[in-house]
Amino acid sequence: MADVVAVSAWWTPLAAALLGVFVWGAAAFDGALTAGSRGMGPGGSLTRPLDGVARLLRQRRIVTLSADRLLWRVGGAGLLVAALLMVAVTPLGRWTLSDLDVGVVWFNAMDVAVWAFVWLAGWGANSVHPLVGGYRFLALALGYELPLMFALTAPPIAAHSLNVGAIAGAQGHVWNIVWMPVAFVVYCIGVLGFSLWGGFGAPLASDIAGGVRAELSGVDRLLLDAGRLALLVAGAAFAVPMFLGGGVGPLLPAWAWTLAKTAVLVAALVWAGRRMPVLRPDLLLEVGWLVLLPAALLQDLVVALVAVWVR
Amino acid sequence: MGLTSFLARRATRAARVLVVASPDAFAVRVAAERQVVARGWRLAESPADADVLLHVGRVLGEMGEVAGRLWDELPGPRARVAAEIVAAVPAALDEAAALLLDESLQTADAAGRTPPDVGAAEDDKGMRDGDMGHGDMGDGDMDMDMTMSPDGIALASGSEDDRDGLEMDALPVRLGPVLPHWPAGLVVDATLHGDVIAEASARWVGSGGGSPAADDTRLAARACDDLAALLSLAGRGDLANASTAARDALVDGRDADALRFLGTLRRRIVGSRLLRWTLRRTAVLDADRVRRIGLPPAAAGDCYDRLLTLVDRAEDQAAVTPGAAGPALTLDSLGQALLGLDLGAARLLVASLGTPAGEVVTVHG
Repeated sequence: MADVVAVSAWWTPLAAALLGVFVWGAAAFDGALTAGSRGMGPGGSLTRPLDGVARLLRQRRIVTLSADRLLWRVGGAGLLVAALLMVAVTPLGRWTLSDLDVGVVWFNAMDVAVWAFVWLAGWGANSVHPLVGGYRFLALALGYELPLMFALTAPPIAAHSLNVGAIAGAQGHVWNIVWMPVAFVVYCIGVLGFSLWGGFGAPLASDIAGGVRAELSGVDRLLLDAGRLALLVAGAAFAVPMFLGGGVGPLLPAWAWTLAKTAVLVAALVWAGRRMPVLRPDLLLEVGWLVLLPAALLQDLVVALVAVWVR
Repeated sequence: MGLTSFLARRATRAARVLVVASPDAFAVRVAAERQVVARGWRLAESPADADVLLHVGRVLGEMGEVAGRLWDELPGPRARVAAEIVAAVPAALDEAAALLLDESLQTADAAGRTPPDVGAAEDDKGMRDGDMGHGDMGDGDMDMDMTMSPDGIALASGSEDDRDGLEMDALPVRLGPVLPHWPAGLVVDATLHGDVIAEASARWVGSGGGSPAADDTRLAARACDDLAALLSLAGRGDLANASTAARDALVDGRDADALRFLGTLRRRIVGSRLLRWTLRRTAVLDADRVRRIGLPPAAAGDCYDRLLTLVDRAEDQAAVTPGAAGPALTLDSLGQALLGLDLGAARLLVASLGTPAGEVVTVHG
């Protein structure tokens, strides 16, 4: 069933550029929603993210006293790298950069690497607010990561494969989201979690002066902000082969359907994140372990039973 | 040259402003915040995030020293401007934009900056181009008689009553006087165990000893501002913007609009189950404790109760002109109320109590 072709690594810059375009779009959409909540029109929303990039490129980077610079910068830049590595195993229609047999595990490994990156970015500044932001992220991650892992397990069980292309191909006309709605919702919560978006923004919240990014300026801040949105986009893009039927759709070619589905999901995640209040870690742990985790496990059980019955 | 000035022009359109406000300059601060938003600029969350340092009202004494330290932490290109009265705000921001665009001035400013005053000098070939203190919001005089202080920063110490018995887990941290969604000029000197507040004492800086009520701007507008701060901290920026719109309407004397905004806002707040869930059981003060530490009776309950109280207060004061002041709140009781809370809950508690007023009293937990 795996009808995905691995393309040459020379296409990587194109994939990165595509990711960049989506990040820009997500930032513009978020800006337009902010303008809307202030009673202003969406005019200029498309160029405003570029102004922000120009500002950060022009701004000097500052260094705190006794900062652990290496780890600080590794953490700040790591989010963008993790997002790119997620995209590397995500097929665009029929093409993929890397047709790994264990693509789902690879994706999961990247989202766990985010733990380290956010913590290092908080730790490295040697300053109290970023450090508290780092604590908060680890506590939140404890709450969302296990449910996310089990949600990621459902589509591979159904497809009898950890290969992302095979999972997309196994769906046919009934998308996974139809009979794995719980796994899909838990997955989306996990995506908001590892991109620190919406209710998962406590590590970057204004009550601790920006938290992890309180001491970041210039290009360091740009990398962290872009990395966070890139993770949101990569998470949405990965949901397309996992839950939304991959490139399946009428009229348009497979790659166009993949992009369209990704765009819709990114917009939905950006919108939903803005409607969520900040989740304090203690609250999320309660929900994550008492509600989301059992729900994801039950979903896996149902999927496993169906998979055994059918084949 | 062309590219540099193009970049500078685009960058200046997205400038971020760190406001250092004197506590008695509510009207000027509101005007400044509105102007910043109207220009498509944004308020900065920390000095590292800021291009412009804006003094609002008369920034004097200790507040002036804090402003000086914050100025050292702006990465640059940077501009420092002041507006003492409402009418001076547009000109101050125009000046800031002009300063940010002045290439030669910014280059000279960058060249003239000195590396940080490091105790154990660590030469990095001039790569340090900022002067950042430990902690970003003005760390005061930390206890320096420690045996080890790398780079002149004292290590955290231990504490007898640390709940988990960790060594080096009592960290003195100063919250305020400049912090997003925090009463301007309020300073809380706290000792943190992890991120839990073990000791706290509150005081005012920057307003010649007076309380914030010295400013006679309408109390209803203040109540809306307090409400916006709490909603922002709770993560609902969209609802906070609605509250800010009500505040601005009150400042402009459009009371009917403000009441309409507040009515809609109340429905949206009550309708959000997630918001209720995150604020319920947060920073609970039972009636007994409220009485014992001397808070007004309306402070009893959790952050969600106090959120609804703030909405009521804003609506009552907007309907009756001029309304009654919010209940007086002493700094002594504020310090006591913070004990045992983590930083996030403490910030929500301070915002949910509304703008406090009172005199300096130190409390030890």
